[in-house]
Amino acid sequence: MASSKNKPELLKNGKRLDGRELIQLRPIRLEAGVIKNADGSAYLEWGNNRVIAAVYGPMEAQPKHTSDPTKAVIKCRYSMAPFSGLSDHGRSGPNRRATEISKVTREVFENVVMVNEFPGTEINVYIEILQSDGGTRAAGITAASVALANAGIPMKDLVYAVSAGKIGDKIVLDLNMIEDNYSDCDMPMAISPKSGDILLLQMDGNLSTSELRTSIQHIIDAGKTISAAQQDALKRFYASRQPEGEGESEGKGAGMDQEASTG
Amino acid sequence: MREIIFPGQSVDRSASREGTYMEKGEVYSKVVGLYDSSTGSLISLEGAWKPREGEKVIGVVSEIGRKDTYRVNLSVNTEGVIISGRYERYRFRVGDVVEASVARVESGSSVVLERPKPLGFGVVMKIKPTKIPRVIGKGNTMVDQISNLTKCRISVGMNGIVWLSDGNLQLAMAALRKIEEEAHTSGLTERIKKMLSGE
Amino acid sequence: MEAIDIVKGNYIRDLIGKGQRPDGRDMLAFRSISIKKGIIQNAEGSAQVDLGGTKVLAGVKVMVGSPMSDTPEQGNQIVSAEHWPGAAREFEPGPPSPESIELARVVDRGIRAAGCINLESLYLEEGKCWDIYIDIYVLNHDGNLIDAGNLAVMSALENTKMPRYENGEAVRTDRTTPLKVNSVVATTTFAKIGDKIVLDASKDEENAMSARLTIATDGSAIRAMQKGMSGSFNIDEVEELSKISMEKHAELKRIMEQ
Repeated sequence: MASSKNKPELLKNGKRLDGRELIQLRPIRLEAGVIKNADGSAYLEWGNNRVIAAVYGPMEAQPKHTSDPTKAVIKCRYSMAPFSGLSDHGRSGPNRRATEISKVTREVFENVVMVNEFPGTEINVYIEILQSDGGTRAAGITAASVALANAGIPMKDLVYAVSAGKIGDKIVLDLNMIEDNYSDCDMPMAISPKSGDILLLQMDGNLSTSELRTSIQHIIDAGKTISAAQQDALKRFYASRQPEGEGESEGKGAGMDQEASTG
Repeated sequence: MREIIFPGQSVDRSASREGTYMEKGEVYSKVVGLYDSSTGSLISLEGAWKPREGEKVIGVVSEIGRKDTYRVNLSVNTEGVIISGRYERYRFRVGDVVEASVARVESGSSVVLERPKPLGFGVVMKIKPTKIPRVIGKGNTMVDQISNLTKCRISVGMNGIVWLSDGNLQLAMAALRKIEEEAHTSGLTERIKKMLSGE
Repeated sequence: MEAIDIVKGNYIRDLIGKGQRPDGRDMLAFRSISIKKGIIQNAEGSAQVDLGGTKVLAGVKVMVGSPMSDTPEQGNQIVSAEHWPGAAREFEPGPPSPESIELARVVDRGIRAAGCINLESLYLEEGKCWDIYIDIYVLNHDGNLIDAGNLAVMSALENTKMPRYENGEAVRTDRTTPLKVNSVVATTTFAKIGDKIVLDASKDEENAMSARLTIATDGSAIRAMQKGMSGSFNIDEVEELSKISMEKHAELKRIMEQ
């Protein structure tokens, strides 16, 4: 959060700069199974965010000393492509921020994945931010969750994530980059929709206890929309594998897979 | 009525143990699966192979150990071991394709194999283990059909490895890919028959 | 390499020895190619290429830098490649592998030798120039990453809009002028399998190959070459492949311009 002197006006006539209401998600488009080599994968367009997630495993844990004879070890790598931002070329590979996000993301999936079923193995979750516009960790978790389900990894629930925040004294949902930079609070959260359990919680800025409760409630309410997008992506993945004439019509998917133009 | 269900979705208490878990007396799916609420059957659409005793598997010899034991790659998370002595009939080399059955599931990701048999020159194909029952078909109908119509020799391992030799290999492999892709749909045996007879 | 790849390799060598390919392609045919430009709006240029099952994304970032001391009146072109660990089971996280460095350098060499980007035109003022950062991201590896990477990079360069230069900084809110791309470079990569040679090998075919030859051309001349792996080619083969490469340039150029 940069408290800058040339802070832009984030709200105009009660609406946000991109025209959204205070409590409104950006458009979400999800597609499952886009990486053929992976055991499971997903591609997500969330507002201007572009995220790809791939899952490999369960497979033999390497190196051996990282394995746990009682359960599967989850390894998570969140990273941002050097061309993903609107500013200059970034450094490649995970930095300190990405390493922290990788850790808290891993802990989310350690909660829901039934790790005891695959002792001695590892499950690798790779999340790459191809284009960033605020809320990338939430987008990464939402995509990775679909990738894990697509890989057939047994899980208690299909987790989603989104952030809430505050502009002036107004609570807002799903902050984009400019809001994230200049808002008074940003609070990403991952939720298990079945139980409402909070699996990731980070926050910085300022928030009263009542605003905290309101924010969490908005995140839980938004879950219906995000969960539906996740389930729909998985449904479409199988519907697209129907024999000719029996498949549901496509076209709602994100634009990662495409028809070949030449042969 | 079959529908696609998702991890965390509540299912009937009579639902199959496979693919579900219980929490506070309620039963939930733990996978993306096809669920039939009238019969309680839940078929997982994806998932890794979990070895069971007595199952037929196919693997590739990856290492010759001491005292003529052999390590066999069965899947990315499971390795088989053939303990020789009881099976002097065969000497294996690295890269040999072997058909065997699971004698014992060890802790972790290792199984002991018995009754190993070399399969000779051919090609192997990886198929998602959850789709293998469809590749075999009820009473071997599907695999027999492919074999008859392509003149291929085919051996199917529950671990997701299929071995093929002789005959029209490319056609047989295309049929297997189609089964893998469309395993969750009905009328598949007929469609594969049409495909293989060039109709 | 997994043990199963040995078995697949033997089968493919046998099949290719008979003049057939596993997917029924001609020995010198590319798989289907599709190109989507401009999918990363935050980048100055981008393109996603699907070459059969191989999926590659290239992103171009343009920023203000300083000329190298030995070329004080030129800008810079910097090509990197990422073997994203999500793209294949055998790709591992960590520092760039020799394979990913080779991929970046081979693609860079063809484009540089052909003068696709006029580096002198990137000079801004004393001590300032444009740096063109080109990143190749492998998203799914099904063989022939070099040709897929080259197609993605060329397409991303064609798609690149330059920022405006103002008071020593890049203004990206106003990207209208296209980057001037002087020529189109196409690479063709051949795989030697047994005593046969195929174009655009899939990953299974690559597992069976003994040698690899990449030829980059701009339609008028050979601009870069790279031989890979422990096997070999003879003089007749290299000459023949260079002719094929020149022919394939027209085909690839047409696809890139669609």
